[in-house]
Amino acid sequence: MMNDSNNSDDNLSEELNSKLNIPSASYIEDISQLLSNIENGGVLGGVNNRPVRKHANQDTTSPEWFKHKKHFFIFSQSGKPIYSRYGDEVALNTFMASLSAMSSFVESQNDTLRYLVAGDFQFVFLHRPPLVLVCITKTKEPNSIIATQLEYAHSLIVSVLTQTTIKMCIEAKYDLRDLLGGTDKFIDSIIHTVDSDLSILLNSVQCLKLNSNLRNSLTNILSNHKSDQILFSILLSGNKLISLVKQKKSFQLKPQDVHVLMNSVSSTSSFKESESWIPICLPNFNDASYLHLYICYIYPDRDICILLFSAQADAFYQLSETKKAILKDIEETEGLADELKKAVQNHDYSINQTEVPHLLHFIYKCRPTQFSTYPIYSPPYSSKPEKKRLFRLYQHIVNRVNSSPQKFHKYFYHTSQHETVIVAIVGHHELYATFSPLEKKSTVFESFTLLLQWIKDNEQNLFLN
Amino acid sequence: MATKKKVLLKVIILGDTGVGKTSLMNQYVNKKFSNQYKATIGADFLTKELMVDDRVVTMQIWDTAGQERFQSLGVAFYRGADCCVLVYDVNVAKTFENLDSWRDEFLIQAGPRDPDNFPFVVLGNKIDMENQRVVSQKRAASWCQSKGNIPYFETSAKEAINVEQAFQTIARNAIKLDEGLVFPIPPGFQVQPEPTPAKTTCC
Repeated sequence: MMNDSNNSDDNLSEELNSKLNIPSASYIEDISQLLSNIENGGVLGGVNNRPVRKHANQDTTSPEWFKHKKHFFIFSQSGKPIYSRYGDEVALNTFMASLSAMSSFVESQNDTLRYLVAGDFQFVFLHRPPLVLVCITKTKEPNSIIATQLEYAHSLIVSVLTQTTIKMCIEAKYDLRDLLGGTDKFIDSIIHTVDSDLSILLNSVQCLKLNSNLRNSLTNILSNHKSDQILFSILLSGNKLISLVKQKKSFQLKPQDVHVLMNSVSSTSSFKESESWIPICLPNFNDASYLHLYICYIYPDRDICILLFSAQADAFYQLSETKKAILKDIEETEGLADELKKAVQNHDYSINQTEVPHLLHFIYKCRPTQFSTYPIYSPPYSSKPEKKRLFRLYQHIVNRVNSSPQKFHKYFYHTSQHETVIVAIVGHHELYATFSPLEKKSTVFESFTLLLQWIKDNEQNLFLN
Repeated sequence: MATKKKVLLKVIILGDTGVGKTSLMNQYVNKKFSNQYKATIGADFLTKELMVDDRVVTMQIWDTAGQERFQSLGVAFYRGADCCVLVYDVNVAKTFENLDSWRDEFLIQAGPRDPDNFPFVVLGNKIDMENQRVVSQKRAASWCQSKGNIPYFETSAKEAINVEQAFQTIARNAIKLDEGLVFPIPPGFQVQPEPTPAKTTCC
């Protein structure tokens, strides 16, 4: 593993140099400047004094530490700590060393440790050399779903550093935490999000429900301002997509990248205050290099934000001009800005609006576009535990129907004490609809058909086309 | 807020069974010694924070099983180590003679980038049993010198002789390794210019 690492750094950096014409002296200054910016909250942080993390003082000697339901750990393959969701990672270094010894033991038998169960806890390992990510949980979620959650945490780290830098650092035995200073809160936040976000569960992106004429106007404006400088132009509000324009049709923006991006944008309050320009890596787009991201909240009070991606590090002023032009067009289109703001405020819809009888909740994914839509929770899903319970149920069902990608279930009918969930994975869509367990099958089928029709009728407004 | 550079060192302790690896570690970390012998199964992990100059250093100590039947942790055990501590018993000649193979084993498994300068430290333990001694200080010191001037300490885990000093040296030598590293910034994404700009695409 380490054998072939000798000199590879030097070769690689020379190679990169010659390709990019980076003067060698700029390396370390740039990185350390970047770091000090991060630490000072200049680029990524919102505040000068980083708030103390919750549970930061716990470790394996504190009984409270064992009471957390769901732990996340990230460490290098050699067992050096990088992140712990609860407690101080340095104080937990021997615990992580033990975890790495466990996976190393299995590795030495030419096998891979993926999960194990100990008492009430399940341990899920994700190996992403040179990093290992582990979740220890008593939430009884399917292993594959937890592995996906670990995947998101890994993507987030790659988005901050790129896979190239991670590899180089670990090979050179450099402490990754020095480069990740202040990233804890982003990891905390994505871990929190993946544990409740239905669009992530369906490997999809949620679109803002918006009148299709309105959306088309916005998309046309973004398209009119396309340029060679801009790889992607994105309009979003919170974690919902309003519009997306790509420079080339071949450019793929995977849901995972979009969520990592949304997480980084929404966990940084200072982005709301001014135009920002950050390097960010989209792991599924290209994990070896940074893109440069222009961020500006055009309507901060409505959380409406424009993101412009460029490959050029010096394109800031140009993109800032582009944003001005886009904003001008939006403002000058009769009623567009007002309608957009109104739509953002009222985009959430409840099950009542579908007028489908007996329906309690649903989630829907359009498979080719990987966009999803779902109503807000309404009674009986009012309390946090009830919402969580439905989410956990969806996790198990999603896992069941997709457990074998070649032979997924086309139809799936689940009834338990609290609800009936009917699933159809047909052609271009996945629909999971929830009813009371007391409903008759015929009623459920009838409502299911009505719901499908409603989605079809509203498709134009529910999704980007 | 400039956070002070944190240093975490992975230190591996190797040596024949019964030479006192666990006892040394216990003496260093917990200030305790027990005469009772308990074989280490697989591996044991202890941690200790110490100051080296003005830096706070956290040592992650991997205490290994000397008995062959427990040596099954594989390559990851040695991976990314910052220092390797070789321990022998000054009263048992065989444990000294085996240092060579422990050192070789480590270098093969860990594959450090600069094997000739990888920081090792040798500890000759159990010097409190002076009248039974079979390996002279001179013999041990000359072996260390022949392997590229490995620092050598004579210790007693039982009486806490030289333990603190030995680990201080271990930390200091391991830190040297991570100084003067330079990282290039990864390249920007390269876009191939397109002859004719594509028509608006959105999904």
